[in-house]
Amino acid sequence: MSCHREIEHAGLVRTLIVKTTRLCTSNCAYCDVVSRKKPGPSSMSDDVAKNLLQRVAEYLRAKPDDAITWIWHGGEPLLLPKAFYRKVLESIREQYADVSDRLHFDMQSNLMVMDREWAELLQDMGLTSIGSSYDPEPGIRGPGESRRSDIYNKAFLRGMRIAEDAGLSVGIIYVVTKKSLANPLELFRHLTNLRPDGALKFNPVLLPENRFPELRITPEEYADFLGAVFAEWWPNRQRYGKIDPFQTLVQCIIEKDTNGLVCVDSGICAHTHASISLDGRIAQCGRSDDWDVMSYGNIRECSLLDAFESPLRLEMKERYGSLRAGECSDCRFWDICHGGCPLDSLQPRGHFKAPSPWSAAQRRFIEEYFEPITGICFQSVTS
Amino acid sequence: MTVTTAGSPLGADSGYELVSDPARAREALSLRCGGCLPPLLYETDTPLGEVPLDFPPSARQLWLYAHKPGRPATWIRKRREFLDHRLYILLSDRDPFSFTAARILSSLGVPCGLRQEAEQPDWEAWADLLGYAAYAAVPHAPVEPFASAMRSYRPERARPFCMDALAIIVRQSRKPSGPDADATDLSNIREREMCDAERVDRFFLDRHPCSFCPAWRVCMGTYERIRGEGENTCSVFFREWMEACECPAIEK
Repeated sequence: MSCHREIEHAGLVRTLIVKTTRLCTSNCAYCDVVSRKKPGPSSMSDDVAKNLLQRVAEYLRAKPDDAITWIWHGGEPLLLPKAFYRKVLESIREQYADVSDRLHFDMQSNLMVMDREWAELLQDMGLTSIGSSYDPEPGIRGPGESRRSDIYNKAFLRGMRIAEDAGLSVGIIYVVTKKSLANPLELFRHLTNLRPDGALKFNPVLLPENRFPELRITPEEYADFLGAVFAEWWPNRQRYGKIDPFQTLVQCIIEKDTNGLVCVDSGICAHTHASISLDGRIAQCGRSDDWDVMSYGNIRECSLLDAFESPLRLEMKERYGSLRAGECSDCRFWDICHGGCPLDSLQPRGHFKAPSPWSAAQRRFIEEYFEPITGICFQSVTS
Repeated sequence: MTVTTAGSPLGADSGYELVSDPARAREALSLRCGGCLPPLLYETDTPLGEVPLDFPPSARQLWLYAHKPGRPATWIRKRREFLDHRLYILLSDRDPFSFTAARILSSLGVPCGLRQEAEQPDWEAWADLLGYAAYAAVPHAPVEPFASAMRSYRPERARPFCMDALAIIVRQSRKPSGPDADATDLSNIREREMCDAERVDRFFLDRHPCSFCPAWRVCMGTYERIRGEGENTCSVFFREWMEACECPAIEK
């Protein structure tokens, strides 16, 4: 058995989460960027962006079969001046045209300040879709201490229409909190009634111990929430379209294709992901950057190639081998879970070599809901 | 001949001529260039069984909008005349008996449709008629607004269903594809009104019950003020309609 999940090194798509600002138009209850007020600049400078572009080009030239997905993240990335992004585009056209076909941009935005000019600029960057978030429940997403969801939602809906009118499809992430558990079906209908062009994705709320205990949910509660929604989605999936994690699980379980697994379940995030902070620090991912763990240096002195090959990643890479031989050895869901997000195990146990507590949600959802409702029994993809 | 479309719910460029006088209807139908004229909508308060059907043979389409169906015994024997004139019979949900009349006409092979006009629709009666139009195994003529929606519905596409059989047949008469015209893609005016983004967003911002409704995608809050109560609601009806459209056992 290999010490970590085998991956094809040739033709690898690396994901860079680029945090351009910690400023945001919203004060979402579960946001780590908002809650962890760090010293230093509030937004990425032109110089850092320039350095990063150089590093990206350097990487792509050294790895001619690889590609990079660059995700503009924040805070709210649309709070930076448009000139910031235009300069990036200009540099790519003038200096890095030779690698531009292997550099793809994406963005996570709350869309509150979206306008036609932004939509055109994003399309100039090659974006065809944009990720966003929404919550109809008052007091969870919104500006100010009281989280004015009325303000957020009005601006979000307006932004969504502008983006979609311009041809950008909008995907929505809905974060499941305690408040979501009262009536999952009503909530699901409300979200799908919005008719986003992109996918709708459910994620469980992840909160540090001391924040918003009234919003916290257990993995079992999350699984039961998904189960209630899945019972409606499965027989009507043509009507509702792509809803995750359902669609991805269908792809994995029925179509035996695990390529669509998200970072936390993929088992290869140690190979594929990195995050760049406002000042150029390279971390494992967006969360590790927020938590100040798994830092690989700064783009000023560290290449992306070195960051992806950092010995500090070894512990994560070895995690999968030790889990497969240990705590996860009897688990039939290994192929679609891989022990879950390493950071989730770091928080309660202080090390990576344990499965994420959220793996229990995956197991419960499949055993209690997916298999009984679909009548399809999960079989290991690799067995 | 006086031709008026002023009273048409679809506006002056409706694509049909509206007459309410039987003599004028006869005159309109006797015009020789009948084939190239728009359909004639003959609207009448006279109960269906008492409408004189002494129309001249014509290539022109004739739609009869009878506000009151009246007693079946008075019109059931006119089946042959209905068919000979290739009549399309429109009824209104203002008269509760229209639902039964539509069933009977359909079972006689006469194409017909209902218009939603009642101030408070009887959603259960609509659902019953849907059940017949969609699921009845006995041979019967199409009943609008259901028949065209069943053909053109696509589950992945959210579009309001039209509840006005007149709007549907107008649309169909304009399209070269005839009866296969998309009934969920109705007159521009109505669609613009229904899909207006600001109006739609208000439902979500207000957390209006319609924004949580399982049938939102085929209604989009059109009946928010006349939703009904208990089981007799637009939500139940539209949900059943969606299910019928998606039912694999139904031949579209």
